[in-house]
Order: sequence, then C-alpha cells, then structure tokens
Amino acid sequence: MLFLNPQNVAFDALSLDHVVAIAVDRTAHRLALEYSDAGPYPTFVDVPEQKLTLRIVRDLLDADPMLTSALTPGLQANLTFTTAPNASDAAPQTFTVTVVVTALNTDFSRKKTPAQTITAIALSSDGADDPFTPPSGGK
Amino acid sequence: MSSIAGQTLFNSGPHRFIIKPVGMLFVPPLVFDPIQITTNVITPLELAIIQTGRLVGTTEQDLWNQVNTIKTQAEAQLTGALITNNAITWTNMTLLRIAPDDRVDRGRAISLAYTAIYIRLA
Repeated sequence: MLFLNPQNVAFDALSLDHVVAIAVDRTAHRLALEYSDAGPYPTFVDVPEQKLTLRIVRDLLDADPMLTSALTPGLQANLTFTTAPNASDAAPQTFTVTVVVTALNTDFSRKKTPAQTITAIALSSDGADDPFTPPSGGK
Repeated sequence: MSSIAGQTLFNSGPHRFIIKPVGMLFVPPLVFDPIQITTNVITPLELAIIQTGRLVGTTEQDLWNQVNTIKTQAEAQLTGALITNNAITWTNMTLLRIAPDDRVDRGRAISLAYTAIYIRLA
C-alpha cells in the first residue's frame, strides 16, 4: 500500500514536512509451515505472526529542524496523515495508526534531493485487530 | 490419514513419522568405571516412533478438545497398530506422550505443533 504526497503528517504533535510518500508493507514475522511424508511440497502454511511496517519518506530541505528532532528508534507515537484521491482537497481521508519507530535513515547524493526514511512498526490494540485498516475504495 | 489402535486422533493437520534409533542398547567405555575399556552391549532397543505434526482447530475450543482427547488416550496408554500416512503398519505400539510446541499459532487457522511418542513396550 502506497500513499503519495500525504498531507498533515505528524507523530503525535510533531509535524513532518515535505513527506513524499508513506509505504505500508505487510510481512510474515513467523511461518507455520508443515510438510507431509507424501512429497516435497508444503501441505500447511499459515502466518500466525505478522508485522506491518511503515516507511515515511520525506525530502530534507535546508536547515531542516527535524533532523535533530525527538524522533528516535523506540519512540511510540500516533502517526496521522491525510490523503485524497487526487490533488484537489475533495474527499480527504485521515489515517491514524499507533507505531513504534525502528529506524531513521538518510539518503543523499549530489544528483538528487537528500531524503530521510523513517521506518516504524504498527501496534495493534489487542494483537487481533489489524493496526491499519483503510476504507476500501475511494469516495 | 493415520491411526493408532483404530483411532484417528491426529488427522486434523499434517503429521509425519520417523523411528528412533534401532539396534542394540550399549554402554560406551569408561561409563561404568575407569577400568571399563570395552563397550558393553546390554539389550535390543525398544522400538520407538516419533510423530511430529500440527493439530488444526476450527475454533480454540475445537483445538483444545483434540489435545484433551489425545492426552486422555496417552494417559490410558492406548495400544494397537500404528498405521502411518503411507500405510506402513507398526504393530503393538503404545501412545505414551504428546508434547506441544511452545505456543498456539493463531493465524488463518488455530493450530498447535506437537511431538508424539509411541513405544513398543515389553
């Protein structure tokens, strides 16, 4: 899942500027994988543990105060952002997901604008509820 | 599809069978005392079969009903022919134990990995 050019991106009260994209990746953290005595292929596969990883990519412009911000690995916060089906302000949707920041990486070269990638893992309220369930379809 | 003494206890999920070491029980040198310099051959090993697999429940209760049924049969030392999924028959085997894995897995299904032990008792 990919959200391009999200607006009003914030970790709790800490707003993030120049966010280019937010990517939501779902991966299996542990597999239940079983084979039988009949042959080489699995007969049972399940994903009893999975994780939802968010990557917030933003451009770093001149003297960005967020470079020395309180964003550090281990920080738990509510990530909020707003998107819309197109570049207008019509039918905006605001998302909130509780996350724990796991990494902050900076990419830079002479050929493009430096960028920061904030990686975070979403928290479920009780382990069963999907931590991120955007509405299906557009408005 | 496997069975033990005519009962199909484990067929809710995949499982496999393998025999434990067979042959003779022996004691290597220097185990009994410092002057034991040769291997002591004791007796033929008991035939033991290890079953590894996963019980799959439609509900949490269904899974634990299966576990409790198997526990009851192991405590009763259910004895009979063990027929594997490949139709190999091991006669006079006793279901003695089921050891669950360290967690119940709750994904698309509710499942529990386990190891069960059968021994041909003397």
